[in-house]
Amino acid sequence: MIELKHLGKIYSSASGSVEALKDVNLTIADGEIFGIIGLSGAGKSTLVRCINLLERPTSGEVWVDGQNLTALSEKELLHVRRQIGMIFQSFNLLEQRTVLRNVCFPLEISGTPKAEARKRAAELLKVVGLADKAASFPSQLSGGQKQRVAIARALATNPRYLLCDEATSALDPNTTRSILELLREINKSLGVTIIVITHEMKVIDQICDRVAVIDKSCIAEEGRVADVFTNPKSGIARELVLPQERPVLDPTTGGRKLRLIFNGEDTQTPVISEMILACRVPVNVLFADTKSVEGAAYGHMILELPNDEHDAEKVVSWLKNSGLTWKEER
Amino acid sequence: MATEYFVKLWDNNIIQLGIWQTVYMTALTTIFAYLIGLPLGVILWATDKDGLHPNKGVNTVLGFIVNFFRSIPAVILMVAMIPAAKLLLGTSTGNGAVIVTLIIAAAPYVARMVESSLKEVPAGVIEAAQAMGCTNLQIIWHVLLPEAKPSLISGCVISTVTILSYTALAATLGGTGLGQIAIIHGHQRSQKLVVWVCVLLIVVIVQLIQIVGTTIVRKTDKRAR
Repeated sequence: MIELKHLGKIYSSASGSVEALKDVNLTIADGEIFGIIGLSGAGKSTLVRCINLLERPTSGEVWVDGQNLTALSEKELLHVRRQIGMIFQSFNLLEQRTVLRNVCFPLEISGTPKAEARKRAAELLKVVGLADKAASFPSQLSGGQKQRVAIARALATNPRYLLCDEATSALDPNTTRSILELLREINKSLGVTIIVITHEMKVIDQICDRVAVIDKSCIAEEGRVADVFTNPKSGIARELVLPQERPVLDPTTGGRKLRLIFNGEDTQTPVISEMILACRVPVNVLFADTKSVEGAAYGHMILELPNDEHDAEKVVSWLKNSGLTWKEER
Repeated sequence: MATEYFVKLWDNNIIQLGIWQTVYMTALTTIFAYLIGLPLGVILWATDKDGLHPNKGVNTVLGFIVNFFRSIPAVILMVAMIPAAKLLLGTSTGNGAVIVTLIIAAAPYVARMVESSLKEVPAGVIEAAQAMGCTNLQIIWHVLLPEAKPSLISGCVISTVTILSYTALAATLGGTGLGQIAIIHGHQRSQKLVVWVCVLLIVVIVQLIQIVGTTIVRKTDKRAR
């Protein structure tokens, strides 16, 4: 378990000081995939670096497995860091080493015999699907392959935690998806707790169990991904969850507009079809944004009803009896 | 007439000896300049404000000393360092003394050369090593130096060529080699052919160093080209 208690970080320089983190409190349970999302400059990179103390917080405490890291000496910290793997946006592989020797590196550092390190590295390359690239150099790999090597390297010492700092931000959408799938697989099969830092909602959407939204150095909101997605409370969460520039179609009939909200309850029912079939009234979809979170549908849709008051009333009364969440849009 | 004097020098093995002296003085100076300059370069890199172990005091003092020595023209610095040679070797004449002054003149240059190569290693790679729990010494030995190796070798080629030119200058201090032959047998006796042969030989040696160096760099660098 990772616990961040009243974490603060202030960067001081000659030109003044910047408060990068302000009273951050988070608890990350074992085995979960925890997302930290925020816009650039919100403090998320500083926050993740405070977990393994690459950045020393100026106030507060970092507890990992009941151990207060902020109280450890530099030497003791080195041992703890081997229990916390980390991957980066720019991969940070050793360019002059082969893929296999990159994965061996953390093992060599911790004193594992060479033959044993090679064996373990070869196994890990199999896990990330790059067994055939063992003798290649990083410059010969694609971005996605480099990140797979970095993941294998981060897992070499059997860490209990894996920190991912914008690990998919330099990758295209397809590669992003496959890297995220790999991370989820690792979380399931090895039980590694994963902390994901990102500015992309779709990353949180795809793999995280819980999410914390960070804004202006503070945690603005925290909760289960499904809850934050359907009911974002803070302004920043709303901004991230709901698309900013909503391409709403121009109204055509001038009729009433209704917003339907999908909160994951009626995933299997084709509600719109049922409504149209029951009321025999044409409706116009002006806007729709739905996504699947843990297999359930979340999102909202704006419908425009016919300008005929009788037709509109049919739809409204059907909705009232349907148990769906909806409201009138102005 | 001109050819005659040159043939006499050649038959007495003076030119051949000059080539050998230039080569071994360059090689010895380069080796010792790196023994001093490489650690200095690492310390300059590590104590930088964005370095592995920032230390403003050490960095400023060391940086000042290196800049101080580098701003003095090589030939004047070598003259000034003759007392140092006397202190170390007990003599201020001969090739040994010349090599000592050459090393002192070259080491600060090498230190800056090394520092700039080390700065090419991306900060993220160092950070990744720190995240893995590497000690600072492990980072320097297993990450920094191997990752900077191709650039360090390129730098070494440039340094070696510079040191070769210093050895020719050292003729003015009584150092031997092609530089001395060009001055004493060529310039002072108005033997243009001797001067040109010495120049040509130095050019050939420089070219050889460059070719060997470039080949090694090409073979060792695994980054994308």
